Amino acid sequence: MREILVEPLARVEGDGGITVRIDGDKIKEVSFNVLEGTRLVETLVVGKTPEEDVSIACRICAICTLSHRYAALRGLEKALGITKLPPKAQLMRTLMHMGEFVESNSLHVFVLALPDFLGFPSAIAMAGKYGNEVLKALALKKYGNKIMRLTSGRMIHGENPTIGGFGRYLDRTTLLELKKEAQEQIEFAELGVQLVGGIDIPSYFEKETVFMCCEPGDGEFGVMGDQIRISDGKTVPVEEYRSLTNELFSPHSAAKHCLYQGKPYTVGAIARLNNLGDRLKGRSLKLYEKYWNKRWLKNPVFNNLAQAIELVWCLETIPVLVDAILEIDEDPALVKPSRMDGEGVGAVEAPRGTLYHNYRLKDGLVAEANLIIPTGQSLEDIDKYLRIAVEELLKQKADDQKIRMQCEIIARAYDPCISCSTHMVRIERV
Amino acid sequence: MSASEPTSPETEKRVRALIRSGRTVVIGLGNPDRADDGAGIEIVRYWKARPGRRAFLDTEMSAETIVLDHLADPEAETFLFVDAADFGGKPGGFRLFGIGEQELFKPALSTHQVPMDLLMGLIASRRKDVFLLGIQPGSLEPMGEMTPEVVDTVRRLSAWAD
Repeated sequence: MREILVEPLARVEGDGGITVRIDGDKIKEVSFNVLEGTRLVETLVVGKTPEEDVSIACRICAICTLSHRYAALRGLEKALGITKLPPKAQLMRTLMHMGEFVESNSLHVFVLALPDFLGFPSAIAMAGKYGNEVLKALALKKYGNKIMRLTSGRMIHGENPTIGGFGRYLDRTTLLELKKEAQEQIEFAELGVQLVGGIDIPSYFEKETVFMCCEPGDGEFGVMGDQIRISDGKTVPVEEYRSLTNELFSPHSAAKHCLYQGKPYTVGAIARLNNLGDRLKGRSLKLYEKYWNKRWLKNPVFNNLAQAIELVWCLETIPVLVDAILEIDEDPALVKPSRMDGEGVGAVEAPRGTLYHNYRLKDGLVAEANLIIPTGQSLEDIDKYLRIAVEELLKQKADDQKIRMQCEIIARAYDPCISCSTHMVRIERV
Repeated sequence: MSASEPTSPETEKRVRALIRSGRTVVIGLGNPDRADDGAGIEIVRYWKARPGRRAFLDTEMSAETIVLDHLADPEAETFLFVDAADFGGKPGGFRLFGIGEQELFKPALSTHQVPMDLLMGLIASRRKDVFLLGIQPGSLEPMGEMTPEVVDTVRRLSAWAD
């Protein structure tokens, strides 16, 4: 029996691993294991006020803190009967969301995923050859962190985005500084796409799958919406998310898996570009048209390139957002809730994919919460692609080292964020 | 350069010289909520309080931001990271590692951050010296107490800045 264990898997968030067991030329097991302990957040927020909830729920993850806060706000505001925000508050939320995408995508593409493909024995060696590129990538990440810190009020778990709108708004000087920096960074982001786009992506594990993402509406590309766009052509209201996600337990995972109509599916940058990429504009559209092809529908490793193109889109979008914010002089007051009992589902795109926060409120307190996390939704597809890859590599008589490396590349391409994907196991006795 | 002997007089001499130099950027790393993993933070927090030190904590600002902010500064000649590190020693032991000593850089938990070896490589590529002062942890228990051996080491190393 050959056993290949990757534990823990490096350059991802949280504690996960890969197990491959082979008996002769037969596969006994291929699995992506989530080993992280449960977060318990869905239980912790019960009995809390909506304001307390948004500050607790985002602590499920320090990487996607603002996406979690944003999804929680959207879910809770619907439950509270807040149906529309002032445009300036909405624009500020979108700007803070862009910061998280810039920070997260730049780190994953250039620092975590790229070393897999450049063939260096170590990161030290890579820094020697690509020192300038690494420096620029880190500067881009720092810029994303800066947007997050300035808009939300803190580096992590900032409190500015709040129920009914936004707390402190940015002044004109700061906004113009953010705009200028976006314009300065875009050239490197485009070069980054070319660097990632020039990498030869292996094709031996390719197979069609389903992709899901938020439908922003109005024919625009975006990272938030009240409908879910599915690659089979359907559009479903976010309130019906349970019919899309169908959570199930897996014996090798502390995170729940998801199946759409009994089949695995993928969320994240590759899903957004596969479903909505032709809505991009400007430089990001040109890059999408240059690099997108039908292999993206079958190969998760193109997620790295999708993230790189999204970075360009973010840097094009930030100056537009800044200009729109500057056109509105007055900082709007918070919108007051119209009810204390209700239910709401908030969905946003986190960098790794669609994130749902579903809340039921009773007497102004959280009575029930359900969070569906991007990485949990892609886990069945990660397992599927790992199995196909190992099957094909065995046919090629690949050694353990090659199998291990290829499995790591596939799993890491999903940019899995394992920490927040874990949930409480609910046991029902009958 | 090769690693110094664990807890040797030579290590003490070199570390004392590094932290007393105004040209060394010292960065404390770790998670204070995981028992001995907070050793680097505790030590550098103390050093930081001494006058004239360029000392920073990654609990306040990410390590890569600290590096980026100082990499182009000609007066920042040396970078010293201080962190818990499993080098197979006794709990509380410590060693000074130079660039390229790979034995430390095994995959760790929660690594969705800039890898330490990449940061060290980046610093070295700019012709600056870079070291890691590693403290052998006895426990990394979430929310656990620091072990007595590491507490002793934190006290001992902290005093080297005085």
